[in-house]
Amino acid sequence: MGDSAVLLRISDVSKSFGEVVALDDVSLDIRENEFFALLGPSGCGKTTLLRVLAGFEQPDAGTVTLDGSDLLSVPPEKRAVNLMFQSYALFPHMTVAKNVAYGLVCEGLPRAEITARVDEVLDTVGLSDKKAALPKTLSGGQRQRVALARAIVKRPRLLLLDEPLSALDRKIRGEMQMELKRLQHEVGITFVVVTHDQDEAMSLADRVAVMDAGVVRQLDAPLDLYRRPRSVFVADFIGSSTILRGSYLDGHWETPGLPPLSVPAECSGARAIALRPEAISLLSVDDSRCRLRGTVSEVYFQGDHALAQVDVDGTTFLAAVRDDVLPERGARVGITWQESAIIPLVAD
Amino acid sequence: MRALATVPAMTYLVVLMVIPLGLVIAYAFLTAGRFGGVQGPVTLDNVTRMLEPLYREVLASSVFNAGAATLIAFAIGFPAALAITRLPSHWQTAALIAVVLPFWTNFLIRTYAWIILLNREGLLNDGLALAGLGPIDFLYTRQAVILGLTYAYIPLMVLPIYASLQRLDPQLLEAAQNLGAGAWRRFRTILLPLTLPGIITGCLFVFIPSLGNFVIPELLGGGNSQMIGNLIRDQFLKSRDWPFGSALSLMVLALLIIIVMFQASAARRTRRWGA
Repeated sequence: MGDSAVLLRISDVSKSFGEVVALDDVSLDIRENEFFALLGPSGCGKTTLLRVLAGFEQPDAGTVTLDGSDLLSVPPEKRAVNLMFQSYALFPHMTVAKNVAYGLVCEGLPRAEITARVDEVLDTVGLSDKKAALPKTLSGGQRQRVALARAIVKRPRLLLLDEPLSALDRKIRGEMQMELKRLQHEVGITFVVVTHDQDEAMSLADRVAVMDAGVVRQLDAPLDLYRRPRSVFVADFIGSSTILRGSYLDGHWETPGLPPLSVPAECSGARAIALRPEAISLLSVDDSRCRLRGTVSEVYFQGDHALAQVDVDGTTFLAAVRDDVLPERGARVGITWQESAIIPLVAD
Repeated sequence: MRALATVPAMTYLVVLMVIPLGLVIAYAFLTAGRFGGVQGPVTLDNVTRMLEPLYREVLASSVFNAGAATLIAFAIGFPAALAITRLPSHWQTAALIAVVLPFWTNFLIRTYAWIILLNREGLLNDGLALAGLGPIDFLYTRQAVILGLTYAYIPLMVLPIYASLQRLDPQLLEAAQNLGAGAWRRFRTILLPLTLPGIITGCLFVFIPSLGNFVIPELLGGGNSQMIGNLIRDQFLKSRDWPFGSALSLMVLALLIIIVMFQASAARRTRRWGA
């Protein structure tokens, strides 16, 4: 994946709506055949970026190139970029087949080719028997497949998906997640998915750009994003973690309310340090390996593991517990961790 | 008890619909009295008389005038409604008020205002004179009648189309554009079919009162442009031929019922698409 050609290059793109800065000098490279995710809370600018790529917004500054040629001067209807809308935006007065054929009719292709390609793509998404159905008679999952089919039948260079799974039930969501991944491999189109759901981004994407307030905070593969968040925002937004703000002094981390904690030298200059729950182990309170001692304030059962909140003099630590016997609320426990598991966070 | 609750509605229907309509139907098959009113015997003369070329021509001319006014009102009203939906919401309210504002002034006064504009010595000819043209006889022509009808009823075109456009999901247009549709194709394949109920309603709202109108043909058309409404009015007020007036009224009514039935079937089709 690492050396694939750059398909889409976003350079220094900014966009404001009145006082609100939606995109603040965003630069990104998206590679050929990549499954890319733009992840962030609502209002972080990810949807604006998507609309810039589709051509529905013009940025105030910056350039975007697709296959090396300028994209921003191309009108929306001429871009080799298709968008699957969050609401699907299926045409209610057209059958499934007409909806899917719409983009091909616009291209002026011969009728035989249109029919063949519509049949083929409906087969791919498993809706061959729904050709004559109107959108309102379909289930949510089926509508989504139609929207997807309508977009990929155009064989775009880039497929944008706006919160593709948010309108679906939890169970169908899992199925569609796998379906999307399968389709992306099958059709060989570069996918850019916009989502506020970290699970969606982490499980689908090859690389994830985490956005906040119009800025890309971090761009990494999902695993690196989880293991090496660089900022408090990303550590907090992706997964759960214990974040200790403070300062580095002579191999120790000084946090108000806690004794100095021994940390690796790479923590010098950090704004905060973070520990993932699975890096923290619970010990019995009289164990000599304990780094800190506290009280279990809450236990959240998660299925394959549980999360225990341990209160240490007002600071809350989050520890993953995989034992058969879960700690009880109010129990005194000790906690420890590997020093190497400490993640330095260099920015807010 | 249940039956009792329908009494006001039934009374309303009987007094304002059934009785007058029954009278009109009955009159249409009677003979005219010497000084108005009706008398025996029962006859089909009135119906056969309607088919005479003179009256057929008046009907055709009325349908033409009303149809032309409807088309022009659509051609102006649709873009206007579209433009209003694109305004920020508080400006939308202001624009809609501006659309219905003429309705707050007297219909006759508004029509007289057109006489002043279209007159041989009117403002329009004054303007042309400055350019070294004219004068042109705008007034007392068929065009003036169509203009007057269009002007009078165009708000009734704009409002239902505006309501339809408001309900349309703007993302559908973006989706069409994203799939490669240019402006004309988006209009033809998305905008037009999905706002069809509003368009048909607007067209009926303009066509129906235009067809029966007799004030505008009289004031702006002079004697040259009689419409069916003038004919019907003359039967009652001048010729004192109530039966023939009734027969003409029934014909107009039948025509409009056919049109409304067509509209209902079109509306049923769009309802199948769901929200």
